[in-house]
Amino acid sequence: MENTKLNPFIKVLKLPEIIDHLYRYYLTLKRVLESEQIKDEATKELIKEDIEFLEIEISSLELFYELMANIYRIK
Amino acid sequence: MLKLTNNFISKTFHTITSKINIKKRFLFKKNKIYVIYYEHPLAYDNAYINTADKLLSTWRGFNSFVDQWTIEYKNQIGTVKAILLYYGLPLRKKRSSNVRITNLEDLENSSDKRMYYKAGMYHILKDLVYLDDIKFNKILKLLGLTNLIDIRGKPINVKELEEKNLDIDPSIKLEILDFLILIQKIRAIGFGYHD
Repeated sequence: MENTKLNPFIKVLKLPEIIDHLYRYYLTLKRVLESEQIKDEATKELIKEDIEFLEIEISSLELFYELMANIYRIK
Repeated sequence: MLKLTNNFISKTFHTITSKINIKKRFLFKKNKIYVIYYEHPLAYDNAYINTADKLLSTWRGFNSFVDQWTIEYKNQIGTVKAILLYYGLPLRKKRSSNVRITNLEDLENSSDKRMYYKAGMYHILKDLVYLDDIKFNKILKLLGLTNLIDIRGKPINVKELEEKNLDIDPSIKLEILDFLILIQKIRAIGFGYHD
């Protein structure tokens, strides 16, 4: 499971898959929050915290991918 | 005469053993931090206790979850300082001003317990992105997300959890594993994890 032996090029190729996976979590949590199925504040607050984390992580990984894609001329 | 002697020996023996029983010490120490693995309330043998791994008791994300729990072990009741993990989710007894501290009170009162559990777990596990020295298998063991019985320790009864309605299906562990694998992939990319 410890996937640290991958060379940088392979790591970059895996980025879109990871971003996509994160984005699915982000959408699911957004949908739950907006559906108003959650009535209590404690659960809502926890979900908001997670959404914030996912937003930050997705945008950082996207930036990182852009940068690396330019270096490796993937696009 | 022999009968009297026998009676005397029997009574003395009974007195000694009952005194030993009274003085029998509670197995769990006050100055130690334990971890309680707690699962579905209706599951047979649903709670186990073990000494908390040093990493768990010192990890910033977890040390704020240490609480006093009343446990029963082999008919002895006492309190321990422990991190209680409900399917891996650390729970304090009472709600605090910090919403990030997941707790029994909020879980019980949540309109969607499954969602409270998942959101709480994501919140805890996301910190692993930034921790560069914990192996994936170690995390699984620490949180009791494996099915290995040996790490769980001694079977106990947690008094504060008696007759609690924390109805979450055990299959929830699989959904958490998916998130954990995702976090591990981010670490492998090099965001926080280095060889």
